[in-house]
Amino acid sequence: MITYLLIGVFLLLFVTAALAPLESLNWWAGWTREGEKKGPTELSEAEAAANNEAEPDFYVIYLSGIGAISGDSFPEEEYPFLHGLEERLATAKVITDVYPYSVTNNGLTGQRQLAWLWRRIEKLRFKNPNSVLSLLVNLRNALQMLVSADRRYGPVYNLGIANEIYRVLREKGYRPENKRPIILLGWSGGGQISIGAASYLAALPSPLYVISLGGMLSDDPGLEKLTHLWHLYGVADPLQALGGVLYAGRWPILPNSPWNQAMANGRIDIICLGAYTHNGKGNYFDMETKLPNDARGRTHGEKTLDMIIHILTDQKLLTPGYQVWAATAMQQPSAPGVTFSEVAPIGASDPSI
Amino acid sequence: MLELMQNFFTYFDHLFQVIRYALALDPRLYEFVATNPRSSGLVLGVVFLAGASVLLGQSVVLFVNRVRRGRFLFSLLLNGIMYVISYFVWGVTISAIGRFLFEFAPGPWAIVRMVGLSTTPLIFGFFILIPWMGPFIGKILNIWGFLILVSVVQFGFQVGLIGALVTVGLGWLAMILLNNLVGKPIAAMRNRIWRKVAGTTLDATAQDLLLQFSQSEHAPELLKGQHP
Repeated sequence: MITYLLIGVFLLLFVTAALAPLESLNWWAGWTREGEKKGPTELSEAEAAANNEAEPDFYVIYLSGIGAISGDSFPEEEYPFLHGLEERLATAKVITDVYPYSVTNNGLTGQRQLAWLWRRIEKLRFKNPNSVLSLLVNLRNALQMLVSADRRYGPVYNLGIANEIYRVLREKGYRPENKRPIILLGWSGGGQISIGAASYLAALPSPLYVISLGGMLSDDPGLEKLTHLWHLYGVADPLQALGGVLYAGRWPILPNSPWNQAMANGRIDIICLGAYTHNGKGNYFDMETKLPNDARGRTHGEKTLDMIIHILTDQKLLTPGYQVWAATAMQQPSAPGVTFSEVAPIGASDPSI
Repeated sequence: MLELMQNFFTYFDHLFQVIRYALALDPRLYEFVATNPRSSGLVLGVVFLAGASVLLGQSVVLFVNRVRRGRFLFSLLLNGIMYVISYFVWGVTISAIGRFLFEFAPGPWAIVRMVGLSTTPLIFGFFILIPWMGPFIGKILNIWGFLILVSVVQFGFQVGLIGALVTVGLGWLAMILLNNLVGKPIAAMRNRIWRKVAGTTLDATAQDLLLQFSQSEHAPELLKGQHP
């Protein structure tokens, strides 16, 4: 009886995994138009012309991890971090409403046949973030991440995501002729999808940067096209390390793979943040747990934010001495009247970064 | 009508049994298939399902080529039929080599039927669709099929492992020779049929096809790569 049950579970898992690429393939083949939005080429001329506001200095597109349910429903812990990011990057436009696990930016609770199930799981997760059922979201999205990294499906999947990023960028006022830099900030699975989408977004005239937060990165051909990749990781995060194991193109024995070529060309920087974990206490977004021995008494999340600011300042996207939150203000990110302090200019020695 | 339905269910019941025994490399099945000409229908079903399933596993090329649903289904049917034809040729080749090499030789059709059983693992060919590990699963299935083939040859010609491996190896060489001698016109005809049915050859990659689509006026803007 138990044997049959186990066989059934494995079979179900295998069938689910085999069906994973079909959403993007159906989209490309034009078999389904489930939840599809207007394409960038179909944005009305009037809409584009009406957008005469001054453009921000650069755009940051946040692509969430495999726990995301839609473009506006992330795991709870990510919100304070994103508020912090928006506050710190006042001259940039931070875009968070791209759902990287659907080629049509259709969240799990959107126009889908199983939307009712995902809505129930969303409610359950709201009550109990550690609900076992919410693992279904992770499983579903992890499979989509693997679709993005698979050389057979990646070209189609990543095109869909790049198209959606471009559509949202245009909606938010991006004008290619102004060549404002684009930064894809990908967390976990979003890191892989960022480098995948880079294959196509690199066709835009803007410089294209990717910052991966604990991303499970493959040797995606998109690495050959982006301007620069920074991979931030924690030593207590085995999931991000899986990318280097699962994808042969990241092994040193294949020096001509896109990953190894980008490494050799100096287009990838790998930055260790410390003893960060992938999930739970001490993760990249944790705004409560203090770092041990940190000179400024920062939390894990604050150091992550600081590192992003340093990277952007180094690229001259932010001016040195850019204002950042004081550690105390991070406790209540959306509180009015927060105090600011200055981050050390790039180049100044900071042993804790 | 009732009898027809009964036959239909009996056929599938037997088909499942054949699949189960073949996957387990069970010699009782080989004996049944070798001595019972009525098993031809079951072996035919196995090979056809394997062909359709393998194409489903490799269907990315059909999707990327934007084939319509009807054509997609027709392509699966076509691949099933092509599998039946190619395994028939493969079975005849193995049978001829075995008869030439060994004293004990059962009837040629018995060997052809048994060789068909080696496609059984490929019934799970649609698992090749699985991202990341699909191609690896494909290789496992092929190795599994190879093991069945070797064990079928061992049983069919009553020879040891070495004899079976030599037969399969020579069969493989003979197929390469056949491919080079008469394969080109056959492959051209196969490709013509494929282009008619699916609009593409099966060896095109997603990247090739996207490149082709990038020239189309309906291609997404980012695919064209033309920006101010």
